[in-house]
Amino acid sequence: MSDRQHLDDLLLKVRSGDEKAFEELYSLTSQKVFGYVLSMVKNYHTAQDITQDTFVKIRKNIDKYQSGNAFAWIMQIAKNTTYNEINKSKRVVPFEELPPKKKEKSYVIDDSGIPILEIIDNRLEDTDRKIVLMHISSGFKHREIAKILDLPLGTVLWRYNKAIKTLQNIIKEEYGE
Amino acid sequence: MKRKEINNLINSSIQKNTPKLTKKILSAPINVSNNAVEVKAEKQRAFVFNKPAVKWISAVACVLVVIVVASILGVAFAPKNVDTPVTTLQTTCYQIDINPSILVTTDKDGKVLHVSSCNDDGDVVLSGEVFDEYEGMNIEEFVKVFVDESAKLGYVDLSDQNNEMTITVVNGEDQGKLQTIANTLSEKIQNYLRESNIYMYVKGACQSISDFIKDLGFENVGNNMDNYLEQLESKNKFFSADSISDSFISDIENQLRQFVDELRQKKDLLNQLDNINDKIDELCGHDYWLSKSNYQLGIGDYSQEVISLIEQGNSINDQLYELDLNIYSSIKLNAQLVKYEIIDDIIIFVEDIDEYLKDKSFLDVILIFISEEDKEFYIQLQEKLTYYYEEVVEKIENIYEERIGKYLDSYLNRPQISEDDYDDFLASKN
Repeated sequence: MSDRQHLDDLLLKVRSGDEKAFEELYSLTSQKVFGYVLSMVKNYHTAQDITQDTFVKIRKNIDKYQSGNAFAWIMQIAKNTTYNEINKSKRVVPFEELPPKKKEKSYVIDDSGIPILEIIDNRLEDTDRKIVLMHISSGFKHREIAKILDLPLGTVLWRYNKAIKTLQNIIKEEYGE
Repeated sequence: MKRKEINNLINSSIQKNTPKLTKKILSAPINVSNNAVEVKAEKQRAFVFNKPAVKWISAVACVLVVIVVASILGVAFAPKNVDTPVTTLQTTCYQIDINPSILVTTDKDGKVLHVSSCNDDGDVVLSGEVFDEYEGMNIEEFVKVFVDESAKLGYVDLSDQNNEMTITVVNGEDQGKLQTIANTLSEKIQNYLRESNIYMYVKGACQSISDFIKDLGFENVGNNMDNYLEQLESKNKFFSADSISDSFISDIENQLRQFVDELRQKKDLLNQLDNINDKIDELCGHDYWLSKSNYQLGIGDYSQEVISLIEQGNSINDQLYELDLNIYSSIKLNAQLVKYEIIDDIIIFVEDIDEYLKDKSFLDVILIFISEEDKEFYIQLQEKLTYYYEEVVEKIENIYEERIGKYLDSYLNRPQISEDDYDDFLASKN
């Protein structure tokens, strides 16, 4: 059974109330959703919150799911949730009403010891960061990214490769790998 | 650090940072659908071409085929001055062979544009001073000079009245029409030579472009193409892509369809092999490759069911091998790119099929038709294509590695069987 068919199966099972299927669905797709959201919001906490909200919405709206492209459906919910959040944050908040700024938690670093997500956040241009995260962690094809970011496909390809080379150079120079 | 390692690093970091499944999520109600849940089998995605892409790819592939042929053979327009039927193409290629063998390009008035050799003897003949100014000669005059020069160098004995010459016309038109063109031109040249007391039987032949390219081999097509195109382009402004592409479109489209069909078959076969492998694994605890080797060596005692699965696997393997050869040749045939306007379409096309590709030569891009005015654009494009090329090649290599990776250990460590033992094994089966 292909991944796509498996996801479709899982969503259909969730639609009939199967919690086990939802757990599996979460383990298979949460990483991709998080990668996409992180690419769009560039904030660890917000990305985590939006990822969780996305799955809440999936549960609430599962009855609307029609058998088909399951992953596209999930990502569409992720996109909508992200855009809602971005729009919300654009609203003007009086200064005195702003919550005290929390100390930003840094990313959990994997066993390699290279803080790759921080490097991506701080050292890549914003567009390049989005392209890299969407492509690598969420599995979007370049042409899909071109559509999402409203850029020519060639530019996406070019920027992606430029960004990867930048990361390679940084890792080589600063971490000796 | 390699690209693949960077990908892994990013994915692993994302995984570490992805929120766990929390109560907040699980406490949200699932809106259970009242509709009966029907788990549909996945509809096999038909491999449908992006139509505009096909159109463009086809058109440009056609153009390239013409250009490639032209660059090797020399392209001649159907020469009006020999009363040959006028082709719908602006260019036609002639291979002239009296061993030496050469390739001639003429314009639509039958004037020679370019000449190149097909073999070493052709090289020797064409190096003569007499060919320094061949441009603008009529094809008949040119052929006579070629015959005279060949005779002077001892390749042809003009006193022998049994000499033969073959003129092969190559282009994409229907064979009947080509043959008529070839016959008419041969007769005309034969008569022209006779007026100079050169008696030679001139035979007309024709060949389609795809056959011609297959015969020629794509390795050769690449040689000297750049220089040749440069010359051809600088001297022949009429050499327009659009005007010569139409008649080839259906031909190339069919080739592309066949190519995709082969990829689809390959996917099916790989899936079948995966299934067989899983079944064998279930039945005897190791995979198809090891079982196959053991069975052939007579190691272990396999049930009839396993033997039958091994034989099915062998048959699929043979089919895969054949198919790979076909796919490889199709890829080669379609690898001769492309006019720059369609690069995006090509990229989309490749993204659609890249999971079935293992051959990176598909992306060996040759850019043509770049005018001076487009130079800046051309440089940017080269940059983009280079990046793209590197990325897709890596992607294809990774996918392939992933596909064969699970079999690799068994395959590399499989017991070896000598040819004699294998013959004995086959004999024992019979």
